[in-house]
Amino acid sequence: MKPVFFGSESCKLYGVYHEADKVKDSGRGILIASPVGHEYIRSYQLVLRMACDLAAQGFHVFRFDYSGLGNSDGQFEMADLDVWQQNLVSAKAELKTLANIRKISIVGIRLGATIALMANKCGGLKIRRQSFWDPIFNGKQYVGVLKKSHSLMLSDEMRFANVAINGSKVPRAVSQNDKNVIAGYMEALGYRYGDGLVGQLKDVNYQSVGECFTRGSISILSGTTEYSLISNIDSSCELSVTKSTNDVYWEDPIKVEKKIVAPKVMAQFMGLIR
Amino acid sequence: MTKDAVCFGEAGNLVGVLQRPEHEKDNGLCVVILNAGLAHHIGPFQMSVALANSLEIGGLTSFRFDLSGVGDSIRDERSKCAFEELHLQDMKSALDYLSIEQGYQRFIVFGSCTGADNAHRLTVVDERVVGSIFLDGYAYSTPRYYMYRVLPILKSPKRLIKVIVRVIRRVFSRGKVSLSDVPSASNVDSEFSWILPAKEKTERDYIKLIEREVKLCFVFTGGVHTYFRYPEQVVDGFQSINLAKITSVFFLPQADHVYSLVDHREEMIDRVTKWVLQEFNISC
Repeated sequence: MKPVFFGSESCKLYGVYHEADKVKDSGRGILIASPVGHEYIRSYQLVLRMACDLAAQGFHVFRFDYSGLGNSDGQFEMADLDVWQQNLVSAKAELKTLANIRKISIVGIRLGATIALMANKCGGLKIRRQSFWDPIFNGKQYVGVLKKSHSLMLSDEMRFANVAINGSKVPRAVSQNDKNVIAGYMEALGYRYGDGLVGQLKDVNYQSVGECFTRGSISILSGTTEYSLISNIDSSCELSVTKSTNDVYWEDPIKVEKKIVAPKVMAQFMGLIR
Repeated sequence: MTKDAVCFGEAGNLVGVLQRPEHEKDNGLCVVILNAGLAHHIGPFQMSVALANSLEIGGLTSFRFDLSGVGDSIRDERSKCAFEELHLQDMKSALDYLSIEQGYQRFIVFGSCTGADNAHRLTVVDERVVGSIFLDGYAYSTPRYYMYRVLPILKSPKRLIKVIVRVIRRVFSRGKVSLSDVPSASNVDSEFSWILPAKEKTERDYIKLIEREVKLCFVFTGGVHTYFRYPEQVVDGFQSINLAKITSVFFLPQADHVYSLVDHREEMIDRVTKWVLQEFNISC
């Protein structure tokens, strides 16, 4: 495992390269596009486990932090789907250099899958073998769930003290939400989403994402997506959809910080990765 | 500013990020940021990254890393010792790496929740540590604590009845009532927790730290109101020693245990950064 900073001097990105098992080396690479926001943190161990397992199977694996997330430079509230698509392109170039390989597949989880699809269509990513886990196809719903979960978090009396401390009652934190809307961003589950990103997310829908299903093979594992709603799929795209056997509870507000441990679903997803 | 991702430790299995400002205000001092529970080295909601950025603006270097079995640091399979001992070795390895490879001689350790517990243990055993910052760390019950805890219940008949009913239920359902005043702090999803050490042991530790003049900064949130109720509680818990001499306490009752709101996080980071700059005479 080799941690690196890569990308331009003005925006260094953090990534970790997992070298393929020397005996089983397939000469192929896998780039992992992680989820963002609180889901990035919740799934960090899962992504790490996946990377280790894929490397043990003979793949050269690279996972990284988008700008504004994790160790990478930038502010999350300035984040932008276009920039994240470019980050994916840089990460692909880094993987090629580190592993000295040409054939690369992509694995995308949640919004990471959506970003990968978009980057393939118009961001210059050009990866034909794609495997996605619970991609986001309905941006309005995604933003709605973030808002709702954040409100529930604010009213959680186990989290925010609702008792007299130092002799006086602690004011509730609920007013934070209104303040953040006024200031031009939406705060949700530990992160501030800029209005620009929220607007871009709301534009994500079955039709717009469907247009990103271009040439190549796409395998999707999902527990929620209504695939009949996806339209405008390119006829040369080989699409296969598998329903996940268990729920991962991405959207459960009670589990905002709970690390995702889903061995059965992960095993199912690993079976789809080409 | 430079940021370097490094692997260190005897087996090379530990991963960390060294973040240095362009012009260091004190080139012998480094702030070491520990894991909070199972959150990897960026911290809960990127708290550790935000702190490193703030310290960098103040002209200070920081090092955040993952302990064995957490985040990017895979546990060395050859190591057979328990996590507590292993993590102490990891922390010492981090200081060794920073001393030998990077030339830092003095360290301030920052830890939240289980990180505070680890920070305390390292501070006591390693004399290279000159300062420690504990978020929701140790605090012991005092008469005033009980007063703040019990008075609101006595004042409210409704709450009083609830408590009595709860106690009666426990008596009849389990046959015994636990009245232990030993608190345990855990993160919200209870994946990782620590138990407050015996007061006598902590007092012995604090006596050592007073002798060494190690500077301590405690920051508490409302998220641990079950065991912490007022800023002086840290010092009040140890009447026979002069803990106040080396201790600063900040209390952010509105914040939750993991600083999930950005404003609360920024306030904590601002206070911690200012404390470091002031206590270690670093000019802005």
